[in-house]
Order: sequence, then C-alpha cells, then structure tokens
Amino acid sequence: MFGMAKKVLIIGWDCAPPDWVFDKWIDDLPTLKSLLKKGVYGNLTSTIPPITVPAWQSMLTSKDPGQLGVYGFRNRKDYSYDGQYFSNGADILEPAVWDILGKAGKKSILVGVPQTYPPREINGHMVTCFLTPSIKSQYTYPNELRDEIEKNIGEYIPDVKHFRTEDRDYILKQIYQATETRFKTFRYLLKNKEWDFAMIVEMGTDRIHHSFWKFLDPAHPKYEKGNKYENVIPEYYKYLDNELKKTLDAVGACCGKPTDEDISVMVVSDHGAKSMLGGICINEWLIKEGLLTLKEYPKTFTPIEKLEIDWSKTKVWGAGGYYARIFMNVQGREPNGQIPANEYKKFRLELKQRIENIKDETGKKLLTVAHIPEETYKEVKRIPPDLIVIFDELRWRSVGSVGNPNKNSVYTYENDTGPDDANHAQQGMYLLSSAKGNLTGKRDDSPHLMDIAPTILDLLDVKIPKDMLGKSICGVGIGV
Amino acid sequence: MWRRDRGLITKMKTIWFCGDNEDLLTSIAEVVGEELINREQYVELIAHNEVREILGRGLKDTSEDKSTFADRLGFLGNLLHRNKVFALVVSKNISLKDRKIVKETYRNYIQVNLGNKDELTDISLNKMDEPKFNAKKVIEYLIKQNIIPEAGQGTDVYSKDEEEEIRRRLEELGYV
Repeated sequence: MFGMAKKVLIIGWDCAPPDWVFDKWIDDLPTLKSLLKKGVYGNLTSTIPPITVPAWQSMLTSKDPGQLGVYGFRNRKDYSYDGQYFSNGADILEPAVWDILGKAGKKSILVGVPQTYPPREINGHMVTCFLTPSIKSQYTYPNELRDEIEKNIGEYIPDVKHFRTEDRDYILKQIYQATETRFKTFRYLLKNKEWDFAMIVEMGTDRIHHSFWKFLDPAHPKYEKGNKYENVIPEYYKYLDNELKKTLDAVGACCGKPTDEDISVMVVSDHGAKSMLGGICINEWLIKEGLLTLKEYPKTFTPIEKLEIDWSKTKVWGAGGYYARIFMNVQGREPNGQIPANEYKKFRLELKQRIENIKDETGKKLLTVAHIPEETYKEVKRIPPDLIVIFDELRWRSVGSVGNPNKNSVYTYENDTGPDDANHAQQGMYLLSSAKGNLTGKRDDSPHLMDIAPTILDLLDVKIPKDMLGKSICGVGIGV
Repeated sequence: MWRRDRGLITKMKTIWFCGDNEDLLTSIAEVVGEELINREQYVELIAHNEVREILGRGLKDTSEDKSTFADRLGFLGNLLHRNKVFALVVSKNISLKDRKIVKETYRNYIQVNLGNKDELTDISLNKMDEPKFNAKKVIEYLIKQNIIPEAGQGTDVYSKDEEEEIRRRLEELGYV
C-alpha cells in the first residue's frame, strides 16, 4: 500500500460504454485522451444485475449486491405479493469510501452519486442523486448547502423531468440543462469547499442512451442511416469531455498547483450500453408454461401489478425491466404458496433451466443466464428475487406486462414502459490517470467495479478494509 | 419506581464483552456500537477508564466491592436499556459469580466472550479474527434473536406521493 496522491477526483458517466468511448470516439475526446496517455484504462465488469442501483454503491463500498441486500431499483420488503419498495440510500448499511475516508480525517464532495438520497452525515458536502423526489426535499448535506446552491448556481436539476415524450429535442434540451447545472454545482463545491476526495456522477449519459441509441447504432433493428439524430450521442460525449476539461482546470486553479502533481483522476461508469433487440414477455411465457394463472386475461397490454393473479394456481411470477426478477410462490413463505418448501431448490433449478432454454422467434437459443442469488453473491441479505435473469447478454429486456398485442406472443418489439433503444451492457469503463506513477496508457480489461473503492483508498494512503471484495488497481503491478 | 421496574424485559440489552484483552474487546465493542448507530439504535459504551473510575468510586479491591462494582454496571445498563439504549460493557475482571447475579437481577443480558467461554456465554469470538469480523458476528446474533431488525430503513423513506413520482420516472426510463 502506498500513497500516490493528495486528492482523488472521480467523474462518473453512468452507462458509458467502453467499446464506444475508447474504441470509436476517443479521438474526438481530447481531454479524456490526454488522461488516458498518463493512465491505465479499460473495461470495468459490472454487478449482477448491471444496473445503476446497486452498481454504484457496490463500486463505492466494494461489496456485492447480496451483501448490500439491494437487487435493483425495486426490492421486496417482505414476502407478501405486493410488498415492494424503491431502494434508496437508507438501505446501504456497509461503509462507503467516503465513510472510511471521513474516519481518517479526509473530506469528501459528492454530487449526484446514485443511491445517496436521503442524505446522510459525511465529513464534507453532499448533493444527492436522481432518486431525490424533488428539490423541495432535503437533497444536500449539510442542510444549508441547498440554499447556497440556490443562491450561487440556481435551481438544481436532479434528473430529466419528462422522459416519456416523443419530442426528442425536448428530452435533449433537458439532458443538457441538467448536466450543465450538475457540473456547475460540482465545480462550485470544488472551488469553495475543502476536499480530499470528490466525485460526480452524471446520469445524462444513461438518459441519452435510452432515448437516442437506435439513431446511433447500426446494430439496432430500428436504425436508419443518415437520420437526424445520428450524432446526438457522440456530440453529447464531446460536451462531457469539455465539462471534464473545465473541471480539471477548476481543480488546478483552486489548489494553486498544477493539476498533475497532486491529483489522481478517474473516469468510470457502472455498466455499458448496447442495442436492445426486443423484449421477452416473461409473464406471458410463465402463463404458457402453466406456472402463472390470471383471474382474467387482459384485453390490452397491462402491467402485471394491475392484474389479479390467481395465487392458488400460480407457482411463479415475474417483473419487467432491463433484466427479469423471478419470484416463486412458496408454501410457508408467501401467503398462498403453492410450491412445497422442501421442493424449492429442485423447482428453482428446473425453472432456471427452462428459462435459459427460451429461444427467439427464429428458434435460435438465447444466451440467457438465470442467476441463483446464493450462488452469485458472497452473502444474501434481505429478500432477493428467486432468480435474476439476464436475457441473451442483455440484448433483450424483460417485459412484465400481459396481453401482448402481438397475439399474446412471448416476444415484443415495442416496449410496455419506457424507451426501446438501449439496454445495459455488462462491461462499464474505467480510466485511472496519475502523473506521479509511470502509467503509460496501457489497457487492462481485468478490473471489476468493486476494485474502485480500494483503489481510491490506496491512492489516498488509507488502509483498505479486509472485507472489501475488490482490490486496488494500483496494486496489481501495472506500473504504478 | 426503579425497584419495581428492575429487570423489566426490554428489546434493548446490556452486552457484556468478556475476555483478557481489554483493548481488543473495546475495539470490537466500538465497531458493534457503530453498526448499531448505523441501524438507528441508541448506544452507550461503558468501557473507558474514566467511566469505571466514577462507577468504582469509593470501592476497594475486595471481593465484596468487586460485586458492588458489577452491580453498579448492571444497574447502569438496566437504566439505559429501559430508556431504549443499548449498553455495551467491556469487562475484564468481573467474576462469573458476579455476572450471574447481574444477569438474574437485571436480565436483558447478552455475553460475548473473546477466547475462553463460560456458562453465560451467548456469543463466542475468535481472538485471531479482525474486530470488524467479530463485530459482525455480534450483530448477526442480535438479528437472529429479533433484537434488531435485518431490513434497512429504506422502506419508510418515501411518502406515497414521492414513491409515485419515483415510480413514474423509473417507468418512463424503462427500469421497472
């Protein structure tokens, strides 16, 4: 363990894909390119599931989702049929890197780091994330920082307000506005508050991918060459590169020393992005398999939550999203369980195999994996789904609704909720740049996102807790 | 009043950390205390010399006075957990006999041993393990005994309207 820097600055670009950023756009991102030359960079393997919640907290606690007890945005709070809630910062009981740094007397600035609402006391300053209900909520620590931001920056924008609109230009405008405000806020804090560790996570990248990916990627089924929005995403990344430059300049200015000397800079993402081919209607499939029974089949495409399930004839039900959560109706566990408890493991294994054998409409087998939580995580806290299913390496999303207009098919090419452009990808990106070591632009695709927290601590010469699952990127002999 | 309430069963407990290595016991107790605070519990650590000096004031190194000291610790713990505070007591030299009396008198007693166990031990820890790992074992015991909840506090963060707003946004983004 060694100390390399007096400060660590992290720029998070949610959903930023390494295969596009490093392999296609890097020459148009001069700031990132210059960091890369003094750094090490590559793919960063995400969590199972590869989704913003819990990926960022997994990154910053170096604990897996099972240890955090968070398996996605929505989690079961009990074994009732409708007992779900939206996970938030209060669920994170493992110490994050800023908690550990705080105990070592080091100060942190956090802006927009996912799953930090509601705000907690830290040694430093915090602006919470997009899961803040509104700016009328207490979205800062300390409390009075909210007034300071209002006075010096203006109205803070936690997230794009109206995403479900066909007015793409309006979405784009919102994304840019939110990004500009967030980076202005971050730079304000960097200049005016003490810090040893500072981190911003920009969600605009995720929002723009979900909304505009089909205009960019020839691999998308709905891509049309030469369309009006083809350059929207690359242009946005250029904008982000410029925000990065402005931020590095601000840091150099505030410290009174050349940026290179004292500050290690990281640019990271929690997962990547890829074209979405379509959706698997998981509950339609379960109905066809005789595992789920509704009291009445809907006349229109209807979310499962709004339908009455006949629990006396149901063994399994599922939830939609970028991946599928599968729940089993178990005797002695659920209120009207149908699977005997002593058959649970056997049933689950058979169900896993059946799901993994789902084919596409041409009969081609999908590269689907149904993860068993106890086999995936170091430990399993709270209530995980019985299976976490990733369809065809995320080329297909999960659709929870029933009543597919396409003759009750298991396949859909129109999303029941949200956009149908991009799904996530298992590989995010990282870049670690420091002029102090002898990093020389080497690519290393081996790190996992749980390696980031130990790396931050290592850089700041703070002892890495032994129970962190990751290891410092600095310490794996890559020339630092 | 306090005499009638002595030994009232509460959810909060006095957790006695027993063993030879006082520094290590204190480290473990401190981590347990932090974990409990993170789970929004109230905690008092009765470990440092200054607390013992005050509680031991006027007492000598006799068998009878040692028993009195143990009783004072038990009494303080009882007052704390009747007021919904966990008391963490680090005790190196309290005899088994005195601890038995404290347990019978004040109840709500959990004993953690680092190294040698005795008949009152509820949780046995290994001296070779890190304090954080040992503290986790204590917390897991408390969860298993339903003394503290397992679930985080995230279930009560959003009001109904706020939850609806979050749901709308995440649905629009395709996350749910």
